[in-house]
Amino acid sequence: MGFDFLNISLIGGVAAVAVPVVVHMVHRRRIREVHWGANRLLVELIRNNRRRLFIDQWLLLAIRCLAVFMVAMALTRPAFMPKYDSVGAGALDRKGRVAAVILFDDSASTGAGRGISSLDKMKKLAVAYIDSLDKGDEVSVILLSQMDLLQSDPLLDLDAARSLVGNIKGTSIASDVPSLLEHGLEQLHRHLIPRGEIVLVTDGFVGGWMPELKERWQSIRSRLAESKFSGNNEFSPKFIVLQPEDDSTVSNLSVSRIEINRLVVPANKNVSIIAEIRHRGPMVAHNMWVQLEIDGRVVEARPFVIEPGETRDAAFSHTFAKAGSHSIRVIINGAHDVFPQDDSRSLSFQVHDKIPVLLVDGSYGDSKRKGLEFLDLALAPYRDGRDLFSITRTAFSELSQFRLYDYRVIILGDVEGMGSESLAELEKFVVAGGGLLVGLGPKSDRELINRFWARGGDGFLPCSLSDKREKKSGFRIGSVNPSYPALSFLKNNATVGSDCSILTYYSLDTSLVNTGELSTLLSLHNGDPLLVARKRGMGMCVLSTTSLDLAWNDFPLTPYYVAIYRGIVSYLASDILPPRNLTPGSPISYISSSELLQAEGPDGLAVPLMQGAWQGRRAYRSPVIYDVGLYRIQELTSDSTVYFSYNIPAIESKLEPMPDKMIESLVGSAGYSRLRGEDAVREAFNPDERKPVEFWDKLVLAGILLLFIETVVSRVQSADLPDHENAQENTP
Amino acid sequence: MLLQRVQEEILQGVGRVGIAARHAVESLLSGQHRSLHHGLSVEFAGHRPYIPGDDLRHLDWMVFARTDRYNVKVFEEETHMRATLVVDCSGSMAYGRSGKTKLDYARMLAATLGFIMMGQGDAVGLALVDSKVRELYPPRGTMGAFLNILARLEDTPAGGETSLASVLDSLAERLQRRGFVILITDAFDDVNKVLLSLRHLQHRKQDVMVYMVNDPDEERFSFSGMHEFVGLEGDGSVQLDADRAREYYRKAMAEHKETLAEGCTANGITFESCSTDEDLAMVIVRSLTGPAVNLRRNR
Repeated sequence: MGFDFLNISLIGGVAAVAVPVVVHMVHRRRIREVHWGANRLLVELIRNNRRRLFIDQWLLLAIRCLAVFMVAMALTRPAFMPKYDSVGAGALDRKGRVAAVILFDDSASTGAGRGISSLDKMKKLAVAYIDSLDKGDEVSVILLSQMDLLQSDPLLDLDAARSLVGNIKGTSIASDVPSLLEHGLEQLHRHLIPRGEIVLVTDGFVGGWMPELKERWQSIRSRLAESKFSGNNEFSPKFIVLQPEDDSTVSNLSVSRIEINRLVVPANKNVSIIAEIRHRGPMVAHNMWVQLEIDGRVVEARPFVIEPGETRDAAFSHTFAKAGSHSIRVIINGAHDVFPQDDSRSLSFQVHDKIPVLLVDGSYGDSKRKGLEFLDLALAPYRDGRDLFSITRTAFSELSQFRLYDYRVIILGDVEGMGSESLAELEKFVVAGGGLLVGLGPKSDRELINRFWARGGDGFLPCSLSDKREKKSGFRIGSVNPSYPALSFLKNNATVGSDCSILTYYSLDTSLVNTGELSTLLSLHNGDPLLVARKRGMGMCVLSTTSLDLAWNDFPLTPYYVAIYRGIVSYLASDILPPRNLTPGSPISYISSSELLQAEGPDGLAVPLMQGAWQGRRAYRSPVIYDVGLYRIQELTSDSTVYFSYNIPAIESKLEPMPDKMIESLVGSAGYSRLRGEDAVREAFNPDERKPVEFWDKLVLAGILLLFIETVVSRVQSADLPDHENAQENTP
Repeated sequence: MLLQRVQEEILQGVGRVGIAARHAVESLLSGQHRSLHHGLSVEFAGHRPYIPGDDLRHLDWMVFARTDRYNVKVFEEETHMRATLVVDCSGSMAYGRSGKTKLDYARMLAATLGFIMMGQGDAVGLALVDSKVRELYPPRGTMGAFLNILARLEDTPAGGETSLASVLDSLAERLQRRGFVILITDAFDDVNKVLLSLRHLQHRKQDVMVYMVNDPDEERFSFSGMHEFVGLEGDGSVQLDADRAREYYRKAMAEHKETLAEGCTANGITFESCSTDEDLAMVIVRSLTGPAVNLRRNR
């Protein structure tokens, strides 16, 4: 409930409070002299009643002032305005022309709702806001789904703005309030009218506000608080949030995650598929079924029970007979919730028959105990075609003869400096999504590696090398990081490699690497890392600070060597690129040498593919896709199908109202006004429709009552005075 | 002049107040005071038993011879009352509305009472006091002396500070013979000290009557607004809002008067409070017809 004055022009009347004070002062200045006989009594009287006389005097003055104040306030017609939350933004009354930037959050969660969706309500809110504008006001409409497009100039035609809002359609993209606000503030500069209003039309849910982005919010806060014309705070934009009225009964079931228990899915081996199902809200779900679809065909369906507020996993197992692209889709049937779009989730992945791995061995051919012989055996022990990893081992000098993109993972073992051409190829390979494992050794030249591979943290190596450390008795492996996906199988084993000794290793210089980018997989007792990983571009590089063979350690002789390096290589090979699990708002990219391709969407309609590029490579690209579901590209020549999965961002399923306090903390001193529902919008911007609750009559009544009290008090104090005027005139 | 005004205004006024009052006053005018001082005189009053110390000359030997008892003869003596009018002439008595001050009123009151007493054949004296006894005229029974008193009364101005208690003490010492003291004052002094001094007078065989004369303003404090009250006796000035102080003043004034009145009554002193806007004749009638009027008491 806001507070306002309907007749603010008379607020100056409050100054009349000073009148009793002035009269009192004048009254005190007009002192008449009386030659008095009974002064002795007066002196005693003042001595004995000083405090009471003082209180009487100021009490009466206070009553008079209050009475005048009440009447003066009544003239300003104070009133409680209908409810809208406003923090520091002041009243929404407009003074002159307005530059309005409407930011419309058309994210996935706006599709939620029973009967009428949040999106439709939001459109009505936006139209109600536009209705509040006058001829001559400027308006811009920016949609979340189109904010990256070039924005048009502000509109002066309010009907065009209404039409634009009316044509908004829902998308499945993730909400991003900070970006929307940044675009809105940018757009405000294109307006000519100085008084700006940034109007965020949202569904009011918490998703998309991203309070964790503190620096960006700090910047937004300061930009909201600053004036378009520096030095004049009057013109700093008002931030207004429009949203449908809160609904506390919103319930939503969603498939929030799908996982396969292997980093690399091999053909003809059983894998576990786990779907996490989350129930938010109070509704009790009955007769629900969870259904698993593989490559578009239902393979399993079973009843599923979940309580409100609970999160449960639905586990399935499946064996993929054929290598290639596959898809999984888990669907909740019978959820009957407000947001059916997130009742299913899909996953696209590759089933592998063989994973090509290139071993680049710096000591190739020297002896079996040297070079990558151990790693070769660890990755492909059978050598009869059953192995998942298809190993190609070559000498460092022959690297240039290989086409690196034919391999999923490249392993460099104790190599010397390489030529600039090979170096560039290797870097492109990593940046484009390839996996690289680098092991050091006696031939490693620290200077060359730091200069060309690490480049102060900008190269493909995770970081620069520091000193070489040696110890005859050897260093012990101290700890393992099982939270890293490649080593998750070591979760319950804390004694990895405690029986091996590392004789030599390089310590690392991580000063030029951002905290959090570098992951330590294994470390020594003294805390120095033994295995580190860092994402480089779309790929990943793992660095072993000691050798991958027996030259500097006896780790290859321990049982964990095989498991750890198979895990790391699998992890490096697990990323399928270009990515096939995409978020709405991004296009499909597909690299293929074939020219006969056919793409279709979840609704069976064809999706156009155009020649383009992806990370410097020739690729087919689709237009930006906003609808969720499974998309397929079929290579007509080979009859193979590749699946692409689009899912609603998990955060969009969290249909929790955004608390006022959180907006307050994000917006800070810039302030905001939050209006819920169309009526609130109309009332806030149109004083005629506010239907204020006036209480001037009560103030007048209070004023009269105070005057009555004043009279009584005065009468009591001047008791039995026969005739004041006469008494004054006859004063000796 | 004062005598003429008293005769024209007051005594005629006394006549207007009614038959009962006129009778009372006339009885005063025509009455004789019989003294209770039993001493040597020609008129035999009776016998009383001899008390050791009595003058043996007053023993009635004839009665002793008849009854064999010692009796002393007692005679009645017919005397005149010795009244002293004590008029407060301090500065505070100069206060009064429309030119009629408390001192003016006190003069008229004193003159009237003196005139009444002269009519009875009593001796009337005058003491004009402020912080000290300014002038003292011992009681005389002659009209010439009385006219002289009236003249002094009319001429004397108000001034000086009030120190009633010390003045009364001084008078008590100076009035040697039994008599009657009529004090006319506004009594703005320490009430307890004044009461002690009045008792001192009584102790010195003086019958006392007190007239407290106040202006209506002093009773009602009917001022409005800010005033600076400048003391008439040089006792500084006080600034205050009369409207705020009125209630407190009235209470203090009432307490002051009540304390004095109760103290007087408790000591057998006749106390009469009057306001300068009151009809003087009424005041005199009221005071003389009251329950304890010593003027009518036989001595």
